[in-house]
Amino acid sequence: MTKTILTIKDLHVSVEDKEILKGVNLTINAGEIHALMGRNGSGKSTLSYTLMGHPRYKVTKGQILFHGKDLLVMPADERARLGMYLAFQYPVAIPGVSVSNFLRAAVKAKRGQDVPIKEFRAELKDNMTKLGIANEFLSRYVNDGFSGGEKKRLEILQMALLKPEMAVLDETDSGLDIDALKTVAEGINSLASSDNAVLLITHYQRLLNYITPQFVHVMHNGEVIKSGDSKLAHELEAKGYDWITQELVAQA
Amino acid sequence: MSCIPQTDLTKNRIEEISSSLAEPAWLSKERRLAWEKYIATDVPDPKADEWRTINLNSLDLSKLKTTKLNPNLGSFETALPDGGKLPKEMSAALKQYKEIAGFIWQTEKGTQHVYLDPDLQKKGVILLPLSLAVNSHAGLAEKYLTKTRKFSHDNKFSLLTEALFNSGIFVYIPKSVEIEKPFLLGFDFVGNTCEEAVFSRLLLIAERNSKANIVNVLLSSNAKNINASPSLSLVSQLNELYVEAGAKLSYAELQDFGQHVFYNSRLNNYVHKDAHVDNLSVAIGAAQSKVDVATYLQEQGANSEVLGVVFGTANECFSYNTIQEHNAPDTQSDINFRVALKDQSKSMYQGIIRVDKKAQKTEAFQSNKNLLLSNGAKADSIPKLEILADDVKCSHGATVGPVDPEQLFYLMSRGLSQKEAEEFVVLGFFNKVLAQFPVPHTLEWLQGIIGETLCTQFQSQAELKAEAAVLVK
Ligand SMILES: Nc1ncnc2c1ncn2[C@@H]1O[C@H](COP(=O)(O)OP(=O)(O)OP(=O)(O)O)[C@@H](O)[C@H]1O
Ligand SMILES: [Mg+2]
Repeated sequence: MTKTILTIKDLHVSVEDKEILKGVNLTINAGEIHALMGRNGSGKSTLSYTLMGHPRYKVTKGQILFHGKDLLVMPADERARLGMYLAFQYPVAIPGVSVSNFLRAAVKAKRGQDVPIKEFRAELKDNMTKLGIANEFLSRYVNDGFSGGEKKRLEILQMALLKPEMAVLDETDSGLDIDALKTVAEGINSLASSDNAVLLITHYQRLLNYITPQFVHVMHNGEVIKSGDSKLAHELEAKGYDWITQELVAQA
Repeated sequence: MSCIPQTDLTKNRIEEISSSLAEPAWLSKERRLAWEKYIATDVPDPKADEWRTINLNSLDLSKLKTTKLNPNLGSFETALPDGGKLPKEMSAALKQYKEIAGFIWQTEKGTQHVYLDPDLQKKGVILLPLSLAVNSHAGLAEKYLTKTRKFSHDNKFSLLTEALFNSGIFVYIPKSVEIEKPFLLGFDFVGNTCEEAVFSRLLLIAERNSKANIVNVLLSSNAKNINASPSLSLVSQLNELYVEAGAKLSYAELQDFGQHVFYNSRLNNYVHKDAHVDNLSVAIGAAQSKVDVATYLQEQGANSEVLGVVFGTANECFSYNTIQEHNAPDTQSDINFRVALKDQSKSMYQGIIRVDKKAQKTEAFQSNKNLLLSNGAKADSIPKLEILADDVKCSHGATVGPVDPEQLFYLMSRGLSQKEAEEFVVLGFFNKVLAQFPVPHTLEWLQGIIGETLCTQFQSQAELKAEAAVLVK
């Protein structure tokens, strides 16, 4: 039996009174990996911020349900504790806050209790080794002076520690070198299971060479205008987006 | 106990203090000179930049009475006190630093506990209440205490401090003695319902090529139980650091006085050839704080780093003035000051850089960042540059603004509540400065103290709602 984790129904979102999302529908079940593609500015990050509850993005219509629960009434921290996770396209620096203090606080918030320091260290070491993150990063300040790729790795490290049920990864592949792309993709694969789901926002087929999504969606001008299986991503890689928008014009 | 509304901030009081402490004649003379200057100096102009955030009316000079210290109180001990018997800021410091070179604990009643590592004593290190040092080490004390008047300062309170000081500490580090473990000094101003005044002087002398670290804690141990009188008590300090050629001196000060205190402080750093001084001022208490930190780079190669962290709550008012005075070539000074304000608190930062004509190749930097945590909080920042040399590197920068909502969202997206997220951002903001102070364990100690303060000051939304609900009922 399929277990639905996330339901997005006719979602309309505005930023500063400008409508960006114009009726997005999407259902994501446990065990599924979805890819979301689309041109720059089509509204992918707007969707990801809205899912996580960024106060700047105002939902004017529609619903977001997490296991049937209304997410829209919850602030970001409550959503996170429920099992939502967003790997940011542009992770934010928190100067003066060390990575280790931050991770410990996040893990404590998510799990609802303090993790014994020894256990936490071991878990952290293990995940850092897998993701190729050097120890010295623990004492550095969160994303402060990190390279693009280092920031993306830290996003996946957090995902590994927080074990979200629904992870939205916004262009986690961009800015990664070829080896890092493989490491990060392996990390994502090892975290994906039959109990959780992943929404991968990406521009490139190359990530999908490592992670095979069951569904690929194309966003255009604030709407999901086409959905298909992993073949769609290959088609997009070969042909670009124009043919889909032309299809849309033809249908109209 | 009733308060007698009659001030004793008078010339007579000078004679009283001098004779009760059996002071040498040169010191009484010094006090009288300061008094004359005090009388001749204009009262602070409440509209001047350095005073306009301060509520001068909160202080009633016609009521203030100097505290009567018992010079015989306290004793020289062969060990440190039991941390458990000290206020939390002090016991936390003892715990963090573990090893302490020397310790003085004073309250408004007098000196309670003096300890100096016997090995250091053998090397000639001196750590004494100032009232004793002026007699036992009169030569040294006179040499340095009489230098003060050569440096003009227009702050009336500092002149009053020179005239009427009745508390203080003397630290002397002989030539080439290098001490890594810090000296821990503490002053507890409990106060009572009367308006009191404590004037104190701290004299630190680091002789040629010596090295020492000093940590000074100012607090009110039972601040919560004090019924503040309408006008405040005054704690006024004049702290002087003489850093002789090649010496390295680090001085950290934590000010956590109660809301009944008007805090006035002048810190003068006199830095000589190739010497280096580090200052860190942390302020989380007192109703009114007027603090001047001056660094006089007097000889070639002198070098200074001045750090500041201010966390304001309630109606607290802060005015910090830093002075970087370059009087010799090849000197460097760097200032990094950060202020975070909640509630209706206010801050003014004024940073003066003065570069004398002969001070070529000066490098002077200044940064002041202000974080506003509520709509009622206000911060101002004014740089003042008076540069007479032409071959210098100077820069200054200031920012005033709220917490970055993107930072809050990032932290909250990881499950941290808004309260926790704000605490993290503010602590991080301060850490960037605290981490620059070179004395080991200072960062951890202050993080603990500031973290605790933030924790009680940032109420969670849930707590606020619960409180509101109770109020409605
Ligand atoms: N905070 C904002 N203020 C103003 N406009 C915004 C804001 N956020 C998004 N927009 C606008 O909404 C549109 C969608 O932006 P969004 O970031 O969601 O695109 P995207 O699909 O993620 O693009 P990319 O592939 O470049 O990351 C853009 O036109 C963008 O300028
Ligand atoms: Mg985007």
